[in-house]
Amino acid sequence: MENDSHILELIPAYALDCLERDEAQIVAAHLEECNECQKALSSFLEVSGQLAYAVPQVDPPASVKASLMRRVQAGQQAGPAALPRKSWLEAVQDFFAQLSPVWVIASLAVVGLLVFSNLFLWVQVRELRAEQQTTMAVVGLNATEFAPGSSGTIVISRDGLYGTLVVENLPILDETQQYQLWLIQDGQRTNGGVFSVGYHGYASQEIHSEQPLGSFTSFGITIEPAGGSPQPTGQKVLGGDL
Amino acid sequence: MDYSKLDDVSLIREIALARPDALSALYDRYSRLVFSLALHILGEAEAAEEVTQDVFFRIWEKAEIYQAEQARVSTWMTSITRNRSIDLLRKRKVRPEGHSLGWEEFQPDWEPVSERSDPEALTADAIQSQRVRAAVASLPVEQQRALAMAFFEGYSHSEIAERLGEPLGTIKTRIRSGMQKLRSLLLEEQIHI
Repeated sequence: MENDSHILELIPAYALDCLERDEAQIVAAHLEECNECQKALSSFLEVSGQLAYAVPQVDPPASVKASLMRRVQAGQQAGPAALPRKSWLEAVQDFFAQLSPVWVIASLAVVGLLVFSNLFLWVQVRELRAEQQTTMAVVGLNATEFAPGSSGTIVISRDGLYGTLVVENLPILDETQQYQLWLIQDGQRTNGGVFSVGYHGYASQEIHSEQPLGSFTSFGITIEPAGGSPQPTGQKVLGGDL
Repeated sequence: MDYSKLDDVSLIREIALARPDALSALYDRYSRLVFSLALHILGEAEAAEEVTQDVFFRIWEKAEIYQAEQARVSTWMTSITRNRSIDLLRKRKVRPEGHSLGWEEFQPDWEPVSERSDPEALTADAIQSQRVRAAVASLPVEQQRALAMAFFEGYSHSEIAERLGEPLGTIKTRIRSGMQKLRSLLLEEQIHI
């Protein structure tokens, strides 16, 4: 199609982030539904990535790695939430390895009871959710360290097909950057649209998605080059779960 | 586990499980690339060190969002590095005196000595650098200039056109043709290796 060939011509510049904002938005929307252009984008992103090898290659001072690893260790020691994320199997093995046989049996009984009660609660939650579908869903978006004081809300229609995003107190970006909403399901991030905020850090816009918004589990907002990115590359400023 | 033997995607998965040794191995593999790009864009070692640490810390915190089907790990990392560096460059609004952001000073066979101990990885990096420099050097000078302004300085089509005093359409064609030629030279050549 003529439109497709026109968009295809813009892909090399999109991969370099040098399109004007309106053109980048058109390309980002087109990429959602065009496999051919997605493949072209992947190849041009690869070219863009390789250009980094053209600069003179210099080792950073050893102090950079030392600082990085100290920062990582400090984060891990900060609290339980930041402890190493062991796999569930390793965590279970570690737990039982520390217990005597009597405690293992008692623990298994408690675990069984918890599983049963969780199943019971799960059924109740499902029933409640089914009842709640007669009302609109509201998702609160919480600020990260990169946008303290900001907040956001997503309101999803009863049928889960339409949504509206409202944000406030987000930092005003320069013209080369925009905020981008990500719709998240099973770790996959789908573009939910790009936007800028006004003088007071406020913005609202409709959310368009081919997939019902109610099927996404989380939402996030990052800072991206104007027009948006095919995947998150910048700092996350807001996030929340459905 | 010897993390240095893992491929990039496996390393990212290990980092997502909060294994500092995996981050350390990824750092050993790519810190040179990340630091070099940041240093070239920013022109100051101190700022480049800050960006390098931020890039790897972001990967530590956000490894789970990496999607292997969309880009290679090195491509993802250079994309983050470039965005961070250009952001910092814009915030400062002043570039170090005498700092050049082109390709001109890169001689195809020039490579500074590294203190890194892995000669195999160093050789692979050096070959990759030479391939990319040779590919860039084969482009017409006007295309090289436009690509450098987009890649290193983050300028848009219209900003490049304004700064070079050229028509917008000419700049768009230069960028598109340059990237298409590079894709042909770099990716097709890779397939034949």
